Amino acid sequence: MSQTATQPIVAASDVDKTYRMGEIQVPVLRSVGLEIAEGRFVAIMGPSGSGKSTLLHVLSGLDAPDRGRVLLEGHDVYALKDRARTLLRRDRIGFVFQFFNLVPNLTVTENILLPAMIQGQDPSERPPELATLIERFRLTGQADRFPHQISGGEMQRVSIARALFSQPRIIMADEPTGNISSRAGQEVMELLRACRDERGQTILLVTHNPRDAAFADRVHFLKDGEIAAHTTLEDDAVNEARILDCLKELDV
Amino acid sequence: MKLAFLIASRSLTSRKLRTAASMLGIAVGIGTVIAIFVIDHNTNLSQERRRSEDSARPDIEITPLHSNPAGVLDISRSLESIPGVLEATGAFFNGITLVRNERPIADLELCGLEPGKSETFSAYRIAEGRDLEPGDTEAFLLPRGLATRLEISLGDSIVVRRRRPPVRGCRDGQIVTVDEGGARDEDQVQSMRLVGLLAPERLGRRQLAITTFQASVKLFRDDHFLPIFWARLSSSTTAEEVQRRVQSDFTVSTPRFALAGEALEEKAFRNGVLASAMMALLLGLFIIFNSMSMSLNERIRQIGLLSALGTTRAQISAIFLAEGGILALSGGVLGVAIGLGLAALLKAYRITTLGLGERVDTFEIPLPAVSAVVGLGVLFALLGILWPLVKARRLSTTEALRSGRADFKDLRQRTRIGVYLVLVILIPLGFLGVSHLVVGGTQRMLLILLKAGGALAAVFGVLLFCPGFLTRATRWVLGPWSRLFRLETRLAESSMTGSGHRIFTSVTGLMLVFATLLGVKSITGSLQDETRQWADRALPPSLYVRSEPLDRMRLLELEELEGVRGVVPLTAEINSPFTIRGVEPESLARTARSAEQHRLVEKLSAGDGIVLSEYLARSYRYRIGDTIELPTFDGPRPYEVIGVSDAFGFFPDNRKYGLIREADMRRDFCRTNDSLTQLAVILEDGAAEHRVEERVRASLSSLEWLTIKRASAIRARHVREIERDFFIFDVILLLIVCLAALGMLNSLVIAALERRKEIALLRIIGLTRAQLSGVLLLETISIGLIGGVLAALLGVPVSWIVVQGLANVSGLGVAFELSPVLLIGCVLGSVLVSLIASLLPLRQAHRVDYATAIRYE
Ligand SMILES: Nc1ncnc2c1ncn2[C@@H]1O[C@H](COP(=O)(O)OP(=O)(O)OP(=O)(O)O)[C@@H](O)[C@H]1O
Ligand SMILES: [Mg+2]
Repeated sequence: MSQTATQPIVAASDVDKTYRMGEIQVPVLRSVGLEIAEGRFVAIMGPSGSGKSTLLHVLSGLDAPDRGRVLLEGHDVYALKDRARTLLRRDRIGFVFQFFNLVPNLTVTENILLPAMIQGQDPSERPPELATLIERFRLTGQADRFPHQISGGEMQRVSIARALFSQPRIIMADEPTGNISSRAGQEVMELLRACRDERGQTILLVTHNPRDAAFADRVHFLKDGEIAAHTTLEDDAVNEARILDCLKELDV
Repeated sequence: MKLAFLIASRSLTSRKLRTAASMLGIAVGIGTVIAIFVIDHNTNLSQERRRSEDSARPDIEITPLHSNPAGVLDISRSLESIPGVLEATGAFFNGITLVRNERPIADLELCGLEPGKSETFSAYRIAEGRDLEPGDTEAFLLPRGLATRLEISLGDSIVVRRRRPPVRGCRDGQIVTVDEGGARDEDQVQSMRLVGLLAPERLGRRQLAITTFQASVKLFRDDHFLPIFWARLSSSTTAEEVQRRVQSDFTVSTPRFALAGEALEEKAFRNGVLASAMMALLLGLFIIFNSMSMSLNERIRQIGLLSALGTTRAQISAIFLAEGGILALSGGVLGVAIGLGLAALLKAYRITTLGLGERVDTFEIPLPAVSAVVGLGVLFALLGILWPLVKARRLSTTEALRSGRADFKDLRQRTRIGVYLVLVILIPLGFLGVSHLVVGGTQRMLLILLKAGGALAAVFGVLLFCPGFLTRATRWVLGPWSRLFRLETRLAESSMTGSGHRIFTSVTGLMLVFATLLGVKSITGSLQDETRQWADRALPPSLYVRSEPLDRMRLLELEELEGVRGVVPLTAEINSPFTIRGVEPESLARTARSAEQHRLVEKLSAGDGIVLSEYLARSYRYRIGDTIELPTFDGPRPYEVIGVSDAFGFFPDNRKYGLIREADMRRDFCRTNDSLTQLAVILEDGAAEHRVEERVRASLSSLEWLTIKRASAIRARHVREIERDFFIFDVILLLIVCLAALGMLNSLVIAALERRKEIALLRIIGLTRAQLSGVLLLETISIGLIGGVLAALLGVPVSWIVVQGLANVSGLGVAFELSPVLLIGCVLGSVLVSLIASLLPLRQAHRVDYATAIRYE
C-alpha cells in the first residue's frame, strides 16, 4: 500500500525483541517495520513461535521492544510513563485474547462493562448500547451468569463485546478463534469485519487460520521474527486461496 | 519417588515468596508455643528448686487448735474426707536421744510419718534398705551420712529415749522458756531397728530419724503436744477453702515456700499464660492448615491432570506429601530454633510465666511438650496439603480437569464442620489437658473456660455455618466507599465474595488475635483499675517508714511535725493463718477520716474483734459478724469480724491482712510493741509529700538505717507491676500478631498468585496502577475491619467472662470496664496488621508481567 497523506494509526519501525533466559538469548523479532492505516483490517500470520503474539504485545504497548519505536496515533508508546501508556491503551484499544479473557468473579454484563467502569462510568446505569450489544452477540440469556457458567464460544463473544463496547479505535485480537468451533469462529470473524465496515474501527488480528485471515484487507506473514511477505486482499472469494499460496511460497 | 521430589521441589522453588511465607507461618506458630512451654517449664522448675530444700512439700500445713492425743490417728483420715484434700498425713516432730550401751550418743529430731506417704510429699528417698511399712512400730530410718557417723548399720537395734519438749510461756509480751525440757531418767525408752538409709535430699539432709506416725505417738503418748498434718490439695480447692471448712478445729497455713495467698493468683496467672499459648497454637495450626490447603482449585486441577496422565493416587499423594513434608519439616526445625531462641531471650530478660523479674536458673527442654507441638504442626501441615486429595477423590478426573472454578459446596460444609469440631472441642480439651498437667485449674476456672469457649463457639458457628454472613459483612463494609471508588469497590467486592475461604481464613485469624489482645488488655486494665481503687481506699497521702527499732518518744516527735496528721505504728505482725497486724486504736482514731471509720476504730478498741482487709475477706469469704478461731498462745480464741475495710493498716506490700487491737496482740500472741520498726505517717490533707518526707528524715536523722516510701510511689508501683507482670502477655500477643500477619500475608500471596491473570487482564484493558492499588487496599482494609469488628464482638464478652472469673478466683474486686480507646485500637490494629501484611503482595501484584501472564492458560 502506498503512503497516504493520513498518518498511520499504528506504526512500528525497526523493532527488535529478544527474550533472555540467563545466558540463552531467543531473538524473536528482528527489525520489524509495520504501518497500519486507520480503518483497516490487518491480519498477521506465521508459523507457531514466529513471534506473532510478541509483535501484537509490542504494538499494543504491553511489552517494550529492545530497539525501535512504536507509534500509536502518533504517540511514541514506550516513551510514555506507565500511567499515560495505560490510559492510552484503555481509551484506544480493545483486546481479545485466546485465553483468559474474562474476570472470573464478575458477571457477563459486568465483564462487558469493565472498560467503561475503568473509565469511571457507573455500571448500574446500563447504557442503551449494552442491550443492543448483548442481543447482537446472542448473550441475552447469559447476561447475569459468571464466566465459569458459560461455554468457550460464549466467553469469546463476551470478550469481543467487551472489546467493542467502549468503541475503541483499534481492536487487537490474538487468535480469537483458536479455542472455539469453526462455526463459532466464523461468527466471531463476521462480527470483527462488521466493526471495520460499519464503524471504521481498525482491526489487528493474529491468526493461524487462512479462513479467518481472509476477512482482512491485508495479511502480513511473519517468519523467524521478520515480516517475510504481505499480500493485499480484494473483496472477492479467492482470498483464502491467495493466502494459502503465500504460505506455500514461504514454506510454512 | 524421584518424580515426587522433582515436582515438589519445582513447586516450592518457583514460588519463593509463597514458600517462605508458609514456612515462616509454620515456624512462628510452632516457635511461639514452644517458647512459652519451655519458659513455663523452666519457671516452674526453678521455682521448685528454690523452695526450701530440706523439707517435705505439702500444699498446706494443718495445725490442730485443740490437743486431742487420743484422736490424733484419725485426724488424717478425717482431713482426707474434706473435698479437695487428696492426701493427708500426720507429721510429728519431737526430740529424742539415741542411747547405746546406756550412753547417749546423739540428740536428734524424731519425725513420725505415716508409712507410704513419703512419696506424695516428696519427704525423703530411700537410698538403701527398705521404707517404713504400716504396723512398723519398732523400725526407723536415718540419713545415710548420719548413720555412718554414728556407726549404726542397717539391721542394728538401738535404744531411743524421748526428750521432753521445752515448755514456753508468755511473760510481759515476751515468749520465755519456762522449762528447758530434755531427758528424764524415767523417760520412756524403746528399742528400734534401723531398716533403711535416706538419700541426702529433703528430710534426708536433716539431723533426724524417721519412724512411723504410730510409733512416735506411742513413744510420746502422755506429752500433750500436737502433731501437724500435711496435705496435698486437688486443683479444685484452695488453702483458703480448706481453712473455711476446718476453722473451728484447725489452722491451715501454706508453707514458707509458697507465700500465703500467692499460690492461687499464680495459678490463675499461669493458666492465663497457657491459655494464650493455646490461642497461639490454635491460630498457628489454623494458619498452617489453611496456608497449605489454600490453592485448592489449582491443586485439584493438578490432580486431575496427573491422574489423566495415568498417575496413580499413591503417586499423587507422594508428590503432595513430599511438598508438604519438605515445608513442614523445615518449618518445624526452624520453629524449634525460633522457639528455643525466644525462650532463651525470655529467660535472659526474666520474662517468665509467673511475671517479670522471676529468676529462671534452668534451661531444660520439656521434650514431650515440644515434640507434641512440632508433631501437631507437621500433622496439620500434612493434613492441609492432603486436603485437596480428599476433595479430589469425590470428583471424576474430567470434573477435576474442567475449569478451576468449580464450586465444592457440599465438601466445604464438611470442612466447616471439621474445623468447627477441632476448634470448639479439641482445642479447649487440649488446654484442659495442659493446664491440668502443669498447674491445675480450679473448678471455677473451668467454668470460666467453658463460658469463654461458648462465646468462641458461638461466633465461630456464625462464621462457619452462615457463609452469607461474611458476604453481607463485606458489602456492608465496602458500601460507604462505593461512592468515592465505584470501580475499585466493585472489583474488591467481587474478588472477596468470590474467594470466601480465603476471606474466612484471614478474618478469623485477625479476629482471634485481636479478641485475645482485647481480652488481655482489658484484664490488665481491670486489674489496674482495681489497684487504683484499692489505693484510693488504702493509701491516703502518707509515708511508710522502716527503720531500726524506734522508741516511743520519737513517735511523739513525728506526730508534732508540720503536715503530719498522725502516726500509726505497726506493733506486731503474725502470719498464721494469715497476716494479722496489731495496731493501737488511738493512733487509728487520729487518722480516721469519716464517721464510719471512727465507729470501726471504736469497735476495734473494745477488743476481741478483727478488721479484715477486703482482699482477705473476699478470698476467705468472711463476712462481718463471722467468728474466726485464731491460734493464740493459750489455744484457740474466737475473734469476731467487726469490719471489712481497707482504710487502715496497710503496710507495704501485703494487701491481705487482718487488724487487731495492740492489747489483744500482746495478750493472745505474746507480741509487744517495744521495738517499733514500721510506721505509717499519715499526712494532713494538702501537705506536700516530699516536704513532709524531708522533715521526717531530719527528725529521724540519727538512725543508722531508715527507708521511707511514699504512698504515691507505692501506688504507682502497684499499678506498674501489673503491667510488668503482664509483660509476658505482651510478648505472646506480639508473636501472635506476627502470626496473624504471616497468615494474612500467606493468603494474600496465594491470592495474588491465583489472580495473576486477572490482574494482568485488568491492567491490559486499562486499569491504572493507582486503581489496582485501590482495589487491593480496599480489600485488605475491609478484611481488617471485619476482623477487628468481629474481634470486638468476640473479645468483649470473653473478657467480661474472664474478668468476672478473675474476680471470683482471686478475691480481688475487679470489675470489667469497656474502654472505647481499646475497642477502637483493636479495630485499627486489625486494619493496620492487614495493611502491613498486604505490602509485599501489593508490590508483587504491581510487578506482574502482564504480557507474559496473559499468554498461556
Ligand atoms: N517469556 C519468554 N521467554 C523466553 N522466550 C519466549 C517468551 N515468550 C515467548 N518466547 C519465545 O518467543 C518466540 C515467539 O513467541 P510468540 O508467542 O510470539 O509466538 P507466536 O508466533 O505467537 O506462536 P503461536 O502461534 O504458537 O502462538 C517463541 O519461540 C517463544 O518460545
Ligand atoms: Mg501466539
